[in-house]
Amino acid sequence: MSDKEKTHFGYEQVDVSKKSERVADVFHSVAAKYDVMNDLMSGGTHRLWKRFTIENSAARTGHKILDIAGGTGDLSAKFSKIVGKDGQVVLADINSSMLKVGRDKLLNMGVAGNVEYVQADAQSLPFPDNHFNCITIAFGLRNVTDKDEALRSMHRILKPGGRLLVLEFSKPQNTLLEKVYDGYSFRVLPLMGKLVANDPDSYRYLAESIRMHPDQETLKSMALEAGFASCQYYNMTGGIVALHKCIKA
Amino acid sequence: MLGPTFRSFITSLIEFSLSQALSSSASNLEKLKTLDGHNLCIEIKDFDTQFVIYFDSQDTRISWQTDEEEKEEQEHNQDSDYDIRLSGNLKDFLSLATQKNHSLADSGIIASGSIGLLEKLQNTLTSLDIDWEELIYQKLETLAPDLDLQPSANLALAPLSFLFKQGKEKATYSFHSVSNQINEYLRFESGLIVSKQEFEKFANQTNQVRQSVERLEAKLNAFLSNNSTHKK
Repeated sequence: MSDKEKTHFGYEQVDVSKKSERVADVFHSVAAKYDVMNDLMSGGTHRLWKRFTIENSAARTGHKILDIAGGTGDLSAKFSKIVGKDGQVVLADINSSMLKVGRDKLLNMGVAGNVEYVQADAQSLPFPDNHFNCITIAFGLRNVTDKDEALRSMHRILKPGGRLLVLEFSKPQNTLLEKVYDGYSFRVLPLMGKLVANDPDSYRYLAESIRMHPDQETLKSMALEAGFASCQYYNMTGGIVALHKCIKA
Repeated sequence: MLGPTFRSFITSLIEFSLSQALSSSASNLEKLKTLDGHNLCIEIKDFDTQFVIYFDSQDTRISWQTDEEEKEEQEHNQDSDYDIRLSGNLKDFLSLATQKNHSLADSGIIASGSIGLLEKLQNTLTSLDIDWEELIYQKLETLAPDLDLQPSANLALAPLSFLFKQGKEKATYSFHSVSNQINEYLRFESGLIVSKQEFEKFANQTNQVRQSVERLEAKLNAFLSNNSTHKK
């Protein structure tokens, strides 16, 4: 793929080489208010979505978990308790501001000892083959420039039998809900962004990037193409969010 | 089946309540440590669903799975066997939970897994002492420590106390009371109630009397008019 090829940044077409920079700018801007905005935008429901993700992780004491685009560490904090002192949690994020917020938050919560922090690109993960029992990526895949490359990278570093959990915004399954959701995303979210984070553009990007992300079946096909032996998805909140659970043979 | 978001909401509530209850007492926490690292699966057969409880010294986690999700889990996860599995219908679990003289052996619930651990679990759970009323009162106090919550707390707790301690007795009394009233009514009042056949018979007889009266009236009028003609 040449640098001059185009990809989407929300509804805007940008050079492939520029996308990650643009995404980085968004997350540098939102990092400080990320958790507050998540709670406001979803009414706290994102916690339930993440909880369901953890329940599907089959995480146990002693396991190694990688939390990609882990940002402010919601999932990593829970996994740290589950895997215990004999396990390991790696919180990886491409954005240094998000990683810093996450690390500070976890340390303030007293979560330490089995968590490591790595600034890494999901498209080329710097870990050995067959290393992790479980990989999670919550609301991060839609920001990745080359999703196929990222899925292949995740497949490589998973242990056989390990699972990848992709929690991401998806396509509502009901036409009426879709209309309401569109109204909410394009009118209310940027306004919330303006009032709370003083950054309406980043939240407009959020709404647009969700619309450009593959739907449930397409993402499932991509995971199978990347080498996963099986992939199934669970729709949540009418399909507004979906959890894809992909198993490596 | 209920969606994942709703299930997560319910298990969060249960987990939060349990965690608050258990952490309120050091002795409860000590008792739970004996179950550290183990898990318990409660399978409710008539709803094709199961709850898995993971005991941990830091947290007790609860997961709600459907039977289908559990089968997939077992296909892909070699260590998905549970330490203890209790399998039964909802009414069996409710009887076990609510009736003190009810034992696992009599309940119809099938237990499998580590017998030693099952005994430990039974002993631990029956010896846990959770004062729900005190917990709720403490929570109310911490919410507004500067206010005098005593009257409000008493007012709020009075119905709760009623519900927790006497709810079952009241419900039982109410049921028996209504049941007795219905029996008494049927025994003493039913004799006074007219049946449909009796009413129809009465209506027919009334119609016959009315027709007889009309005929008699007509005859009397005819007789009187004849008499008045003769007198002329």
